[in-house]
Amino acid sequence: MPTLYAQGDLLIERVADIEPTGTILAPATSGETVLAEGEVTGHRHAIFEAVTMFRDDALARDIPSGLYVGHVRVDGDAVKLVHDEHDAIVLSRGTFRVRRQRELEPRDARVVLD
Amino acid sequence: MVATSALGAALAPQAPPQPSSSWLGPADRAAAEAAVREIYAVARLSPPQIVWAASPVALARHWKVRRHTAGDSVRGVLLDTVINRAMSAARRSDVGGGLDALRSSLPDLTAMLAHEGQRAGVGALARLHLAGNVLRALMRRRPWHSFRAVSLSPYDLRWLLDPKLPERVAASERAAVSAAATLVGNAGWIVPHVHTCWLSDKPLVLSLDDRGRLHAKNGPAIRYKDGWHRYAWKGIEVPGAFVDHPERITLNAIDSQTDIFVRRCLIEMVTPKRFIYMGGADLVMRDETGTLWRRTWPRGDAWAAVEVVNGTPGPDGQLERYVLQVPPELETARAAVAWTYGMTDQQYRSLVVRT
Repeated sequence: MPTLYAQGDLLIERVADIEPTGTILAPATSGETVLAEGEVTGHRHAIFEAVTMFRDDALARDIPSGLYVGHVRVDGDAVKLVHDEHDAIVLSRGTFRVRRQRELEPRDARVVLD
Repeated sequence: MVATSALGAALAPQAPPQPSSSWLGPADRAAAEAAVREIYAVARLSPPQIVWAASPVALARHWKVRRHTAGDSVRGVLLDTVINRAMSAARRSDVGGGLDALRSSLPDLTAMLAHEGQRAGVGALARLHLAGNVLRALMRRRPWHSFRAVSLSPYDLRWLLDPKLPERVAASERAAVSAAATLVGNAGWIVPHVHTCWLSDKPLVLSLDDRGRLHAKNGPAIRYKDGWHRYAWKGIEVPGAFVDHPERITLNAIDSQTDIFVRRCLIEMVTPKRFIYMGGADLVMRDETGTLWRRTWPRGDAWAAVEVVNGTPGPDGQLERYVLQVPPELETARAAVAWTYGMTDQQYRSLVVRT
């Protein structure tokens, strides 16, 4: 089973190390790689060391639609995933798949018929 | 492989539509009327009489009374001669695929207004969700009564407002496409018949959530200058009294709802955490991942949420608790938390760190 890390509403899953495919997602102009912006607080899940972030939907077919954020490849030493409201998570060399958290919506409500 | 801005690329395919100035405010009636005449000319139709209405519902009411003297609907003709050709041209050159994102915009709003127009057009049917079967029966028997079948929604046509579109179409079609864009940018709903073309004004208020659904925490989510308005929460129409007076959202009010979607909206408006603390749900079980709560109502309706605790203390040293709504059939808190990440509880057992 792949190792999982959770930082707030993000789940990071160590997967088999692979070369980036799909779309390479460039870092922000200030240099950090932002995995996700906080919808309410504006706090970001970010990595300030050099990593490669990419998005390839073919690698996320087993994830429910809309949850897949992308993959992060750590080529060098360990990096830190930081967030203002959560302790940092250390990611060592390898490839990680990142997904966001979901919640049931009012429109998803349905009557259960036993 | 294409390098692009991280968040821009990640979010662009799902970028929600947001109201722009072209969606709101008074219509430029002169520009819209000129555009109607040009589009009719392209379709080899004589210039119609143009009738304005302050809202799509007022339009539908007027259309109901006058449609017998307006000639046949030419919606299909205009779609074939102008709009679908523009769509084809745009699609041929839409290498980025942005067109599909625009086309799929605002299904809730379009459906809501089409239903409203339908209701106004076929008579005073009391409630949308009760009227559905009656409307469908009417439409089967008398298809010319279908407002949806004769109207064009500005929200379905807003891809015409892409400023690059005229460059993408053949020169011979450019004038027609430009006229269609002018019409969509300067009017609301459109109901074209041979002799009469009805146009509605644009809304004064249009509020959407970050997924492009009709949504407003305060006041109506959509309002026209004739006063017609609707309150909505995440694309679902809700009673305005609860938006304007949230203190009225009591457990009794939630229990009293017969519409399960409205009931869910009320729980969200009061917040799931407060709903639980008010005593609205029953404790199912606790495990190391969180606490599972559930509530059932008669007739098979059930709601559930998992309460979890932040792994990192806040500035005050406290661990913040938050509540996530989950499918009611889940039996453990672990399964519920796993579901929020799209996993099984077995997969979620591999979690080593939570901060």
